[in-house]
Amino acid sequence: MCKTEIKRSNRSREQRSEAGSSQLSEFGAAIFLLFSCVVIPLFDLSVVPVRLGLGKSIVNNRVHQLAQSECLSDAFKALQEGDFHNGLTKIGGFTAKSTQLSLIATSVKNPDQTMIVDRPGALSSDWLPGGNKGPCLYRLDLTVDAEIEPLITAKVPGVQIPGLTRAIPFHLREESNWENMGCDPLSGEFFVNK
Amino acid sequence: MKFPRRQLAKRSARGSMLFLCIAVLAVLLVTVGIAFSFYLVFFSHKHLQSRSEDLALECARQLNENDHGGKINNLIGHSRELVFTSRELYQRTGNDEFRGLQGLAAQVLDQSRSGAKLITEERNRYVDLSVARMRKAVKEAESGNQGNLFLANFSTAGGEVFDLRLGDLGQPISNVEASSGVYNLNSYDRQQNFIKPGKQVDLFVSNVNLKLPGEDSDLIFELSSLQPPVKGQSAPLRLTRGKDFKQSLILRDGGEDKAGRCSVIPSAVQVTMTMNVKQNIVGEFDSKTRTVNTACANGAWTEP
Repeated sequence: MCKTEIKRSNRSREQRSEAGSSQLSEFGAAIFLLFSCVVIPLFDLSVVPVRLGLGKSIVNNRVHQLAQSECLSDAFKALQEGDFHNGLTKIGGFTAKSTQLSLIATSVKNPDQTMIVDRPGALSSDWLPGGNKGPCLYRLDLTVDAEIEPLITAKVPGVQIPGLTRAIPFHLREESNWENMGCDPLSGEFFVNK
Repeated sequence: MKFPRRQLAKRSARGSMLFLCIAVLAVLLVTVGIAFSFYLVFFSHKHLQSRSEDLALECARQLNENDHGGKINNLIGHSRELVFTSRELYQRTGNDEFRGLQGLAAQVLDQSRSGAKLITEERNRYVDLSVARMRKAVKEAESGNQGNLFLANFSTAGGEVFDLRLGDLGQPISNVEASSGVYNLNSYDRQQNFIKPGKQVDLFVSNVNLKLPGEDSDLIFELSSLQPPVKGQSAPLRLTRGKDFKQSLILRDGGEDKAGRCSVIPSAVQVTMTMNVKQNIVGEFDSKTRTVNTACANGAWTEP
């Protein structure tokens, strides 16, 4: 190898390593920051809307099914059956704290007037079909108070930051129109209030 | 062509950033792709659900359109009463006092019996007609291909009716009021538990052969379980959870049409629809989504 060639190769190595090392140190730090501050938290939190969407879909499906019950007491009974909570638990990282089913009667003549009942038989005669407030729109309302966990929760005692050290609380509310507007021919009671 | 060394080093640094950007973009695209395909699966299921509900309601509407089912039920009830009273009349003419009227009474009895048979035939014709209209509605729902969706590498196809079953919701009553005008018949019916007593009206039970006593026991009087009108209002057409659905006739089973008949007018219909979902944004994904919906026919109207 001639002298000039050796000199050139040494110089290029120096240049390469100089550029490479500075890039590596800058790039490494940038990558670390990108991953620790953007990618991982984003990935960690991105599971929350997915879980929320799945939960909302299950709640919506359930209230639609319950609104197709024969009578209101059937709907309340069906909600107590385990399927609903099991379905929500199966999502993973979704904890339903409380569920509440209620029937909302809204006067069509005066939409500001509503009556909310949370048990069968509580709807007064004014709010029943043919009553003074009628015609009314009957909707079944299912409210779920839930906590959704991100992918990783860093549990620090005494520190309560939703999405970081603890699950994020959510309030899901879905409605569906009541289907069976008929009346029991034997007892004369409306199914919406039975 | 020669490049200065400094420039070469700069270019290699730019090249690595470009690679990084492309990699990040690819990861982002894959993530968005997965999220999008999830969303489309949900969307297609919801779409199928609403199509299935529409079809179930359309089929249920055919079961008691213009209260034909309710009217046939009432005709059966009246015809049964007529056969019973005709038989009583005929038996009374057996003694010497009315023997001269026996021929006439026999003629009335014959006519009432043949009337009962005619109503049974008409009821069967009505069920066949409803079934034919339902099959047409199913074909229309399938041929429209309204459910097919093509979006990038995602597609849904089919939306076919997998099962179609007719039946009732296990309600034990019909819309026919029990008349107390014919005392003997009324007490016989109560003895046989053919009448369900209510607060306002007593109603005949449904899906049971309301056999008459004696020689007329060969006639079949079966009533459909249509909801009777209450306080002058009939029950509207509706979707139901189908928990107590009892099938009496299968029109389609596993995607294949089936022939068959049922002895009473059904009052509910259960539709199962399936749809194929395909995507190859991230790997191959081929699945079937399925919905089951039950609808109940509208109740009978008040008798004029």
